[in-house]
Amino acid sequence: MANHSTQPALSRFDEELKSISNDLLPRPFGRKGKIWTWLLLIITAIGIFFYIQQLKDGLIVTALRDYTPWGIYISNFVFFVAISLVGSLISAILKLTGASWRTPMTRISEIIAVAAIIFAAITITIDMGRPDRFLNLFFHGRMQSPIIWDVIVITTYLILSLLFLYIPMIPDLAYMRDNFKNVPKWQQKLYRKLAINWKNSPGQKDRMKQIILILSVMIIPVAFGIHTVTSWLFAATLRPGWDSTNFGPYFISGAFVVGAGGVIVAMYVFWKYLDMKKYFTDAHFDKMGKLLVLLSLVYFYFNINEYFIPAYKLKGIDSAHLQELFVGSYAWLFWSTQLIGMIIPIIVLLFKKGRKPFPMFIMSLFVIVGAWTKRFLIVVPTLNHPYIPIQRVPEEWLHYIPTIPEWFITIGTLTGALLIITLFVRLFPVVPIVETAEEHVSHEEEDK
Amino acid sequence: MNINISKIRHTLWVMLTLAMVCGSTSTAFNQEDDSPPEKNRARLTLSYYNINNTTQKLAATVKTRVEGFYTPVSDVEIQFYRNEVSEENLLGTTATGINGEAILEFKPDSDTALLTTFIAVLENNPELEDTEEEIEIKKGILNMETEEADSVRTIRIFVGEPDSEGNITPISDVEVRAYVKRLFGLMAVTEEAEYTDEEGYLEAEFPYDIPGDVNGNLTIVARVIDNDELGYLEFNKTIAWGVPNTIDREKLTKELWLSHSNVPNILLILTNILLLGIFGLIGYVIYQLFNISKLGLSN
Repeated sequence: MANHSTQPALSRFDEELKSISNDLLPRPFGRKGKIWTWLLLIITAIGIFFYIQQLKDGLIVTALRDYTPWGIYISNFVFFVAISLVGSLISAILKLTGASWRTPMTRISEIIAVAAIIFAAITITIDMGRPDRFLNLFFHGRMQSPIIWDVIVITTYLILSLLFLYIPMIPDLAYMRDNFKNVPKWQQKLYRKLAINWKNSPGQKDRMKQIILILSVMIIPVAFGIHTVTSWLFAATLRPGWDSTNFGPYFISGAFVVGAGGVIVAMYVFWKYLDMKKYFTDAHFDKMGKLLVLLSLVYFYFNINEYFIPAYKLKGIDSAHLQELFVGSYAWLFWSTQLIGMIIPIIVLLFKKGRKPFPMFIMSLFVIVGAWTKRFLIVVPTLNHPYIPIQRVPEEWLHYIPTIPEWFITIGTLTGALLIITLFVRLFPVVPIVETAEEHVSHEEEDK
Repeated sequence: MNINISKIRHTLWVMLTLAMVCGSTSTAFNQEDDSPPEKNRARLTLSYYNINNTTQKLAATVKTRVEGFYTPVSDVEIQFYRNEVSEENLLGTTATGINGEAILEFKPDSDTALLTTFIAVLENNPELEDTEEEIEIKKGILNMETEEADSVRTIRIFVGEPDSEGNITPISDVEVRAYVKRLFGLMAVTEEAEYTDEEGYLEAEFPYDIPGDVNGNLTIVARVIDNDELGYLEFNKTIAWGVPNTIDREKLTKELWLSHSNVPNILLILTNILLLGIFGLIGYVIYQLFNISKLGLSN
């Protein structure tokens, strides 16, 4: 944090704060923003409607049956857990490695993490035929079960992500408490309560610096834990496609890719529609592009490990599973996922022109869509290749085609997560105001 | 302006004629549409089961050709008759399930005849043509004795038929198989294609190493499968010839059915240390937030 104890620096800091706050303070949505919010509300409401139907009639409204008990709900859950890792990537890893360019993206990454992890937990509950039994996990859970590890680590990561979102925002909340008066009373009250008497005093700043450092260090192993444990839900079984020692790092590398993609999409939207071109510059896009290429290459490496060696051996039931992926009924989805979700973004983003905002936005959308379908490909085809022979079952049990309620509930969770982000943007600054002002003043002083 | 009345009249006549032709054609088409839809031909098979000489079942399977393959048809009502199709000979009616099979269980005490004809009838189905299938079944007896002598366990399966006076006559050259019931199916303990001798018996040695339940009990199943005259006969016998399958719950640590009280200590200690460490630090962070708030008040 910049030292602004001297009077001239203080005034310069206040000037800078005033100047950037005009750009960064939350504003009422325009027409497009309102349409977007209503769209999310309507789709989420449709999802809730279908979920109520599922609660009433049970999982029979889905296509989940004996052979595919984990369908798009669990694929979606893994996707949410994956994208939530971006919080630790941008806020913690880049902070500890001294990458100061990450400042404008920290809050975006944290709100994506919080929204994603909340909906990961909701999605797991949706997948339960009897959600009223959820608390049994806490009362009767067995520590031997990876599912319990997952419940514990998701809860921990949610708490840490909320703290990591909230604590660095306290100075901004105090600034809004003191200067943001043209808002309804409830909003003023909200800022006042959340600002917890922040006065920017040295004692307060020291304590905040200390706890942010603790959180930065602590969130990294927990973030690795959350996705490693999620991978163990699969890898701890003997099923073809899941029985892999590569799954932990494979899941984590994939999670960082989709997380970075998610931040770039959000950056582009704010850059374009919230007029934040001053804060998300070409240099930021360029650096995020390079980071995405690096992460994708690491993920590519793990993909080779994950598929090449089993394909070389082609043992037993693995052979049927891999042939289904490579040349069978999932081949079109498998190859288009690898191309769209990984290969094309790597090639495009290797070029400087590819790292401009619009191509970056398109490539990041590819990455996100590819990441979702990749989770589907991890979860579903394996379930269609059980060790116990499939005998005398109805034809429709052999192929998993999600039902309309399943699709709407899943889409409802995705729009729900976007709704959390949208409401956050409406109420809080997406780019840290005080931290950005401090950095600007500090850079000016260094330049002098 | 000159109006040619005869031309107009001619045109009206032509239009009227066309309308009538079109109308009659369309009526003809409609009449064709009203005709009942063509029904598919059904393939009906019928089997007879006798289990433990006490339970009798008839199973009818309905299939029809769909895209060149015979596919089971569900929800088809089948009537089962004994000897002839009449009201008083109706054994019962049941519908096919998702596997295309309709099963009717009926009481054996009503059956004293030595030779019975069973008839399955499919009729008045909106999608399938009427059809029926019949089988002639000779009353058969299947029994199994178990014997252990000189450390050799033997099963003796007998197939016979009663005569009109109630005496049992052995039947030779009947293919018989013996199995042991397992969790998901039957495990064969005799070779394929073994037949009863002249006295109606098949003898087979029973292995010593088959796991049973906690008391060593297992169920041996003897079967005559789809015999032309006898149908399916089955005889089950539970006997303590298995290896007792005792589970030492103290030694098991990973099995899904274990309770949470059997967590290995090391796992319990490690996870609790981790949780205490992480939540201790989270507690410290929250404590510092309170301190930050207090400092703000004092300032």
